[in-house]
Amino acid sequence: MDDLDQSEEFHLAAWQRVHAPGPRVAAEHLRRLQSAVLADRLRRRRRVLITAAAAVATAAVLLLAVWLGGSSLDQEHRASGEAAASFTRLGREPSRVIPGDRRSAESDIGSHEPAMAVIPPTSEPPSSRERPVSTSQPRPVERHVSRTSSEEHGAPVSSSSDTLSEEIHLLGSASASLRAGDPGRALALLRDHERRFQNSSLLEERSAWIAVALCRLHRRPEGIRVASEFVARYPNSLHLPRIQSACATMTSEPPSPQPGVKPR
Amino acid sequence: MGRERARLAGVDVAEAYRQHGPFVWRALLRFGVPPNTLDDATQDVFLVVYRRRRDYDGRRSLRAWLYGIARNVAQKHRARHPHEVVALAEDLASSTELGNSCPHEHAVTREAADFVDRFLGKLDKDKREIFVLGVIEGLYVAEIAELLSLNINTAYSRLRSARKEFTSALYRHAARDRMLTKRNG
Repeated sequence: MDDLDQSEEFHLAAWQRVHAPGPRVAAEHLRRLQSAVLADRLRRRRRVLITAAAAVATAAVLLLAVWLGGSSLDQEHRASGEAAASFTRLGREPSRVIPGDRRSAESDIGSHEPAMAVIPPTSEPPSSRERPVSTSQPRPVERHVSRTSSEEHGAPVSSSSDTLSEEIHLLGSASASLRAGDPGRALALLRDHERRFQNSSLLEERSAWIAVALCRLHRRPEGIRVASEFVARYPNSLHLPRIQSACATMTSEPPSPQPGVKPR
Repeated sequence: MGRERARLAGVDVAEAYRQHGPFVWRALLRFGVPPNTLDDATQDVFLVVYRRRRDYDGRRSLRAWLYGIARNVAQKHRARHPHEVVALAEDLASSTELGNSCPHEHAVTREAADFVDRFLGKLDKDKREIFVLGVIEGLYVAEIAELLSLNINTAYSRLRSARKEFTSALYRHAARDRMLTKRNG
């Protein structure tokens, strides 16, 4: 209100004074305003807290999810890693037949054949298996893990896995027959395997057991021929002592006929 | 302005209310907020001030900023109470109190305020708000021009004209008073 004379100033000040909330109303306004500001501040603080709590909860859920996913992946990774290691090891090792518990095998119906465990073969070419075999114990767990891993995750079992299972079952039966002193049945099973799985990855085991079965059946010339071929092909095989043991002690006399087995 | 900004940044809305509450209150009345919702509207304005206190950049006076907020709040209140819009000058006096003044002072103040109300009632609409903001509330012409979306020269011209009219009206009023005093004396 510059450049106003006294009268003008007085009139305009009076107007301002009249058109303003009185002291009582102003005090009430102020009180309500402070309450409203306080309430607003509390509301905002609560909102911030809720937002922070939500953020923390979300972070916790995410962390949990990451942790669960990580551990699941880790398990999967470990399982697949073990399976891969198992198969790789098997692929590198020339022998699929690993000596088992000799005491239990020998006590088993007095047979000289050691206990044998069959381990899944690999799809790698046979040439890669021309290395010294591992003397480690059978690893049924590894086989179980590898199969379980794919089953757990709903992956369809491949036909190669089915074939492998069948081979394992067949050779396992032949091995059991040899340990049970039934080389005739073992030979029949091995021939069946030979017919059905010509390109088997368990060729080494099959050849060794055929030689052993033939010698046990007192078909020594045949057994020695198979054994010679075996030695030429697998000079470092762990099956050699068993073959030698079976064929060296056997005579060439014809064996007593085994019931239900057609000797070759 | 810098101090005002600093105060607002310090969230002293109460002080802002003490200094500018009546200005906001009057502005809301002129914007047509009904007297029965005037308290709520005033509170709403200062709540907005509190929430947006960091938006105040100090480029213009705090009053100009408050005026803009009051205009928006009044718009919302009018939309909420469409049948309670009041006339500007007519209801101003009836919605006020003068506090603890003596009766004579009260009468003189009321008479002076009535004179200004009558003047504002006769003033052209496009000059009325400029006069109130520029002459009574003390806003800068540039701010008034911006707030009312006017060319600054137009704002100056209208303000000058309103001032002249007010001076003339007051002169005539004083002359009439003197004549009456002589006649009665």
